[in-house]
Amino acid sequence: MFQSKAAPPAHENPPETLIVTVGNPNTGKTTLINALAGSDLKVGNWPGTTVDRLEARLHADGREVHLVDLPGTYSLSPSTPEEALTAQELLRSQPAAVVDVVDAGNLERNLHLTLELTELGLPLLVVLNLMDEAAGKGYRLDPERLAAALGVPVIPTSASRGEGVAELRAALFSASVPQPQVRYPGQLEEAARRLAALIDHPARRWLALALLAGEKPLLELPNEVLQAAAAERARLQEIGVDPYLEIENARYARAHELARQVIVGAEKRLTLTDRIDRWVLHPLLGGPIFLLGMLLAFRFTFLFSAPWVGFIGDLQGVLAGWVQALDLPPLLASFLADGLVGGVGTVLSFAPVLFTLYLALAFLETSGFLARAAFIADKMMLLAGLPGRAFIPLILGFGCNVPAIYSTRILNNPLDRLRVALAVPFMSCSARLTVFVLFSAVFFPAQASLVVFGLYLLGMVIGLLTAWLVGRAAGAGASSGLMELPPYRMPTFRVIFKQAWARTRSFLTGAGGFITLAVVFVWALLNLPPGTTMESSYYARAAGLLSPLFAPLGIADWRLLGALIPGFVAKEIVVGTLAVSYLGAAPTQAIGLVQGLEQLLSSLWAALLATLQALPAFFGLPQFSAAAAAPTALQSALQSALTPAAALAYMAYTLLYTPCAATVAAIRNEFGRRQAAIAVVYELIVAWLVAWGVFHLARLWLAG
Amino acid sequence: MLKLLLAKLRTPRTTAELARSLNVSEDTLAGMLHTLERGGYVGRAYRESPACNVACNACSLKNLCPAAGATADEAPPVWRLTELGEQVVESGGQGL
Repeated sequence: MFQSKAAPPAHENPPETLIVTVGNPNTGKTTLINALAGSDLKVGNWPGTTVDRLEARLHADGREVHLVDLPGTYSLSPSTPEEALTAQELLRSQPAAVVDVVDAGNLERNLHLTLELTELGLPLLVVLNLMDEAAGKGYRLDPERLAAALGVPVIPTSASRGEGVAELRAALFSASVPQPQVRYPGQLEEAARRLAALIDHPARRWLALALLAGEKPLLELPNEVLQAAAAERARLQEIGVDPYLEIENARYARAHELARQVIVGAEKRLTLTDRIDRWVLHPLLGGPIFLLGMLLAFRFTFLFSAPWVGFIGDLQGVLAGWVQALDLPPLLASFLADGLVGGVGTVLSFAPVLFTLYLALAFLETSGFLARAAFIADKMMLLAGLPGRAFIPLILGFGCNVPAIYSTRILNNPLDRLRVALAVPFMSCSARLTVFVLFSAVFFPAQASLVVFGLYLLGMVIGLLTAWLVGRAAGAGASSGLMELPPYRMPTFRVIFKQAWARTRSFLTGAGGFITLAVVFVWALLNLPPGTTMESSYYARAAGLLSPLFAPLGIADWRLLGALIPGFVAKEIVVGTLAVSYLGAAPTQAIGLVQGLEQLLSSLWAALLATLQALPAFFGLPQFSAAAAAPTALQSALQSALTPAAALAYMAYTLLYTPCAATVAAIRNEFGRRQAAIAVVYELIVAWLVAWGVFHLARLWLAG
Repeated sequence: MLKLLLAKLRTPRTTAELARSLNVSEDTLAGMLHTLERGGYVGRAYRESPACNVACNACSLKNLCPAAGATADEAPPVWRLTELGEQVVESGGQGL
């Protein structure tokens, strides 16, 4: 037998009996020691660490006791320095007794550590603390059963109330070495016995098991022991036994069995979160509830943002009128009124839409609903043959496709990554929302939120179908996932307002610069060559080349086709380009300062009234007209340029064709040029085919 | 217990669902997951991604993403089987 070269005990020739307390974190150990020792406590640090060391001296059973509290730990196999300290102290200081403080309301988890302690060969005493809280959780425990099973004294206490403390003090010297508790699978048990026989230490069984599990030894052990352990471990692995998993598995199984014996009554008390989750996470109802939640978010967005979009439209009109009244050179006046005020202003006019959508999303998110939605989506994706955690990139795609592409890295399988990346661009990002809001308010004012909701669903379906088809072609398998869900809570208005404002500002500042540049560029092209009308400009001629391609979709106007080209760079530019090309065609009327101010005040009043009216409409009235106010110049122009069916096709095309240059760049960076090129071509083809289908179906439906 | 948990992790579930199906408390399940994480059988999906927190500022769902360094509360963790965990489940699942 080899002797372990254990470090000299921390308390050589102890003048008193050393007793240590050990337990999981938050089991009330400190309160218990306070109750035991009164004010005779000493707080310091463990040597060489910043970990608190709490100790006390007390008299019990006519003897002097030095009580030392070890740092809280879940296991003697340490994963933190505090846990390592506890394990080392137990092995080196060889206390006269170990007091294991167990949370009675969380018995099974705590018993895992207790079972390890039973393998140390030290006298043990178990304290079932927090009995009052356990009763509050609906548990009734039988300490006698635990004492009988372990073969050690078990004292129930509620230390904060002082209950059971006297009994514990009286029992401190009755601690006994427990009976073996955990039976490991045959080959492992034999290997542990062989190895334990080589170790000269009371905790030989625990040390042997730790070595077999591949843990770093916490004591200095002879080389011969370490070599024997390595050989036994290799032998076990060769026959297909994973020592770490088998040892932990056996301990958890025994803890489960013990807990079932000791807990004699448990009333399951459902929390509000449990009750709501019964519906929200229901296998059949969960999906429809999620969709209903999102539909309500869109309805809220439309109802409350429409008055303010109208107000900003009126503001644009007044600003353009003032520019015309300044008597500037025609080209400069056109640049300011049509280019800057018309183009950039139109994009900015969607800030209220984004802000209200972000308000709704912030509410759903901070209340805990979106985490559930992600979970439900996760399940749906598994049904569609997608890896479970693909929901992260896909859901992120609704915010912005670029980070969504990068986040595909959470998938291990390269094929999974590629197919999810091919699906992401079909998820409708915030930028595309501006196009949908503009067109749906013009062509489907009474069903605007339903139309936009339908487009989001369409994108999701096409994306999932794409990933499924690619996966099916390549024979990909599914993956795994477990998600912890936060409890529901009512978010404060301040939190959601702050979050929504930060995101809107991020959109405006992020997009502002390049939208201005792009709109100025388009305005310049519309006025080149100099002296021509817009219809014969370079821009109109280039856009006109697309006409034959889009004629089957019912889209012929060069202004609409032209806006799709800068839409390649970013979707935010589409509405700005439409505004420049439509508004530039009609001369803006000059207006005076006072007249303009009157118009603005009246528009502001109307927007306020409409916002107030939206409140009852959201909760009660089923119909809402997003275009209740007089249509803006751009809305009127669009109404005469397209049929409703063609407008649906235009929105479907905008939803599905290449989202933006940044997304293509992200795909190229992550997967290579070839894959990026394939993605662009695929998206263009899918967008055209789906838009064609939408156009023809809508024509039939609207005609019917 | 742990091997059963590994097998059940193949299907996405909430912690509450999984705890119910194993007949353990959520705290015990958390301990089991910690033990499995320590042994390298399960991992947190987002911790393993070197690309996290890229280009997130423009995203309206940033706070939902466990990868994005949420600005509000900590996002819910997503656990998943690692390659080692998959191997254990694949290897026949003795005792499952």
